[in-house]
Amino acid sequence: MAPADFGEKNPPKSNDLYATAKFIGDRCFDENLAFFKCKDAHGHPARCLDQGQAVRKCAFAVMNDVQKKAPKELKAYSDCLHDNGLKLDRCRHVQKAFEEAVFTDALAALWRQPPCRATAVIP
Amino acid sequence: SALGEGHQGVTMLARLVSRSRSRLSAWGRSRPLSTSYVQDGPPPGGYADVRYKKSIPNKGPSNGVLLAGLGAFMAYGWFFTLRGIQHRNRSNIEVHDVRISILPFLQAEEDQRYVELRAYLDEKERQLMQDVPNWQVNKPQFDTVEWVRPKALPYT
Repeated sequence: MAPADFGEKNPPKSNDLYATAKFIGDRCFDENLAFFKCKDAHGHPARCLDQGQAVRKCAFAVMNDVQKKAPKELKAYSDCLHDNGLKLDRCRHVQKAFEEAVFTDALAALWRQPPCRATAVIP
Repeated sequence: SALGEGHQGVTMLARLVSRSRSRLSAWGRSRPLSTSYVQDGPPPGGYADVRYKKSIPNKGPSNGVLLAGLGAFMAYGWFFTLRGIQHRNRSNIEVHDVRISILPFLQAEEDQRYVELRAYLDEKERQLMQDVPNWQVNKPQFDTVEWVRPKALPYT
């Protein structure tokens, strides 16, 4: 039986989020930036519900893709993080197997690019 | 004293006894027959001269060699320290990257939860105070800003 999809009914736990954080941060950069900008502009949480919805939809999509691609490695990495207090230095061997299973050529090419995200000019 | 007199008497008797060595004294066989005495004195040839002149020999590693050794000793520790600091900095950057990637997701979740809870509480308050005239539901306590982050969760 395949593991349940992440969504409103099955929210991800901290270990799942930590495991897929790099992929979420890479694919959902625009949604996250829009949400942060909205938060800078407005204080009340009710003003940024749409951007928040978009952020969550994107994160769920990324996590479900990763889970479809490598469910066992994701579960192993999540469990290791859960057992070690979300300390990334203690799960290097499991992280290696997980990232090797999930990385695609397109994503690897993205990583090999010069660091543009950190130095991007935010309009 | 009695001890002194006794000692004088014994000495006199020892002198009498020593003249006739074949006869044992009446005071016991532990009395020595010969009157040779053991004294504490300097060793034969006398004692060596007392050293009083200062003696600070100018030998051992030079100042430069000492500093170089100290530097090598410290560099050995610095190598591992700096390697650890660099590893720690990289780890902190990685953790920061992970946390800032998932922060919008978590904040959006919390916003949704808060807004729904606030709507539920406002509805309850409206129902409770529907008969009270001039009652504003969830009246804002501040007029200069729209939103002040609450210090505690709302009471349910």
